[in-house]
Amino acid sequence: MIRLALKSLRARWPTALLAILAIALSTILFLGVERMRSAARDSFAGTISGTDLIVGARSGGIQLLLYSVFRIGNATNNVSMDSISLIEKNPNTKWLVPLSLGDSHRGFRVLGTNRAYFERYRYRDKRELAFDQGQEFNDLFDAVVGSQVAESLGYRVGDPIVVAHGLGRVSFAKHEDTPFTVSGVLAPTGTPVDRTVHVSLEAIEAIHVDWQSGGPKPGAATPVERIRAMDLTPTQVTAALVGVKSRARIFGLQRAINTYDKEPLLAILPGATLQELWGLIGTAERVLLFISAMVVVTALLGMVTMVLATLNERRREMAILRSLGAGPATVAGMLALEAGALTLVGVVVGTFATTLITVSAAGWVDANYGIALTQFLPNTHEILIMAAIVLFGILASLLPAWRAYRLSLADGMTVRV
Amino acid sequence: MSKTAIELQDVVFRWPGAGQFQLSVPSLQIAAGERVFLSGMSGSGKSTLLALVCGITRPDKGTVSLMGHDLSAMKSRARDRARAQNIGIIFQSFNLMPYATAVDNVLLPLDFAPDRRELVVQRGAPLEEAHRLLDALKVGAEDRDRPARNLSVGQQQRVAAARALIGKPGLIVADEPTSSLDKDTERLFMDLLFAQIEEAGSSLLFVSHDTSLAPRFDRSISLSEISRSGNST
Repeated sequence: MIRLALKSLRARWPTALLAILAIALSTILFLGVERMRSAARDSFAGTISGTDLIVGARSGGIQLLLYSVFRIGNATNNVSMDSISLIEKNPNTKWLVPLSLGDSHRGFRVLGTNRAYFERYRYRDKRELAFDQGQEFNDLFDAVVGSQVAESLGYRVGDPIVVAHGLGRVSFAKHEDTPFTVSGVLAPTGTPVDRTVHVSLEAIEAIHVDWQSGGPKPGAATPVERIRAMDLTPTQVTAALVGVKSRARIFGLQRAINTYDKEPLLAILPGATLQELWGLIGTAERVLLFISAMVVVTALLGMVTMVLATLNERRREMAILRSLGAGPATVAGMLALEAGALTLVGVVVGTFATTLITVSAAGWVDANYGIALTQFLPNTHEILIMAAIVLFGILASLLPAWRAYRLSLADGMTVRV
Repeated sequence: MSKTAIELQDVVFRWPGAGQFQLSVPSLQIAAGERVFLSGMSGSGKSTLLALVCGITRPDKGTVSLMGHDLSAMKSRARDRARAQNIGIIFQSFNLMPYATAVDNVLLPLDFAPDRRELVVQRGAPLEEAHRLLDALKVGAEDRDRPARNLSVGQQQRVAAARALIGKPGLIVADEPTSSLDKDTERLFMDLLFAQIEEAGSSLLFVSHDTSLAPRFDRSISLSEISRSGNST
C-alpha cells in the first residue's frame, strides 16, 4: 500500500517536488528567522558585559546606552570631569572608564578614552578585547582601530590617519595637521568596537585646539609641537563605564549618581536597559516570526491544494482500489499519508538545508553583522516547531482525505465523471 | 466451497437521494463455477446490481449472499474484505494504475486479500504466479515491467483479467470488458479469459449489451427478466 502510494506520488513527481520545495523553503525561512532571532538576541545582549553602570548626562536610558555602547545617535550634553572624579572617588566604585564621543574618521566613530578601557571593556560572557597587531595608545597621537575599520580602510600598525571633527563619512573640516598613527588593531569582537577608532582623551582635546564654538578658528593651524606642550587635560567627557566593588552596591551608587544635585546625571544598568531596548526591537522580531509562520501555512495550503487538485484525476485510481476491496477509509488514509509524507520530507530537507546554510554562513554573518550563529543542530524548541509543522500538514491533509472518502463512497467502483 | 456463488433474495434497493430510481430483484442465483451472461439496456440497473453483488452497497430489503456469506448483514468494512477475498473485477476500461507496471497491477489485489495471497504463496512466489497469468493471457515478457499506461488497450484488458484471476477468487465480475476492443482482440480476450476461468474454477458474471457473445456462456439472462427497475410508485 505504502509502495503504491509512493509510486503514485512518483508518477506526479513535478508537482510533488514543488510542494516539497515550498515546504522546505518555508521551513528554512522559519528556522532561519528563529535562529537569527536567538543569535541576534545573544549577540545584542553580549555587546557589553562586566560593566555595572553607565553614566552620562541626564537623558533617556536607552539613548545613553545607544550612544555610549552602540555608537548610535549623539549625547545631548556632556558630563563634567569634576563629577566623573567624584564618582571615581566614591568608595563603592572599583573602576571607571571615561568615554568621549563626537568625532569621526572616514565614517567610523572616534572614541576618546584611557588605557583602562582595553582592560575593562568586556563583551559576550566577559571576553576581553585582544590585539591582532600592535598595542594600546601610548603617544598623544596614537590610535587603536577596530577590526572592521582596519579591514575596510586597509590600516596596519604604523599607518598615519587623520581624524576629523564631527560625524559623517565626508568631513569638510579635517584636522590635516593633527595626524595620528595606528598603534594597534583589535581582534574582531562582533560588537560596535570593531567599527571604532580609539584615541586617548587628551588626543580628543588636541583635535579641538583649533576649534571654537563648532567652527575652525581663523588663522593658521596650531603646530603639532605647540599642541604637545599644551595642557590637554579634558574638562568634560560624554559618558563613563563604571564597575562597582560589590554587586550589592550597584543600586546604592546608581541612586547616588541619579540624585547628584550639582549636575543632572543619569546612571543605568546596561543589562536592564538592553532588555528594555530589546523589548522595543522585539516587536519587529515577533512580526518577522509571524510572517515566517504565515509562509509555512501558505506552503502547507499549497501542498493541500495540490493534493486536492489531483483528486479528480485520481478518482479512477480510487475506484480501482475500492474494487480491489480497499475501504473508503483506506483510500482516504492513502491521501493523508501522501500529504503527511510530503510535509515530513519538506521539513527534513528544510532542516538539513538550514543546518548547511548556518554552518557555511556563520563566519560571514559574524564578520559582517556581529551575530554569532553558534547553533547548528535543531534544539528541542525547533524540533517542537518541526513536529508542529508536520502535525499541521497531516491535519491539513484531512481535508483532501475527507473529500476522497466522500467521493469514493459516492463513486463506489464506477466513476461518474 | 458452497454450491452457490451469488444468491439474491427479495432484494430492493434505491440509491439514496437519486430520485425515484429503484431496483428490485426477487431472485437470482449463480452456481459455483457457472458462467453467466447478463444483458441489459443501459439504465436498466446493471451498475446497481453489480454494486450490490460486490458489496459496495447494501440492499434496503432482502439478502445478498456471496459464497454463502450474507453481505447484506455485514458492515461496510466486512463487505470490502469479502469483495477483496472472493471477487475479481474487470471494468470496461481504466482498470489499471497507469504508473504501475503490469506485474505490480496484477499483484495489487493480494495486498487486500490475505487468503488469496496465502493461496498464491502455497504454490510458489507471487511474482511467478503473476508471470504465469500474464503469459497465459499473452502479455509478453517484454511488457510485464512496462508501466500500464504504455500498453495497448487490448493488453491492458488482459492485464486486468490477470489481476482479477490472481489468487483464484470464487467469482469474476466483468463489466463490459470488451466494449473498447475490436472484434479480433475481443475474441482473443474471451478465449483467454474463459481458459483461465476454467483453470481457476471461478464463476463468471459477465455483463454486456453485446448479445452475440451470449452463446459462449452456460446461461444467459436479461436483467429485465429477473428484475423490476425504474420509477417506483
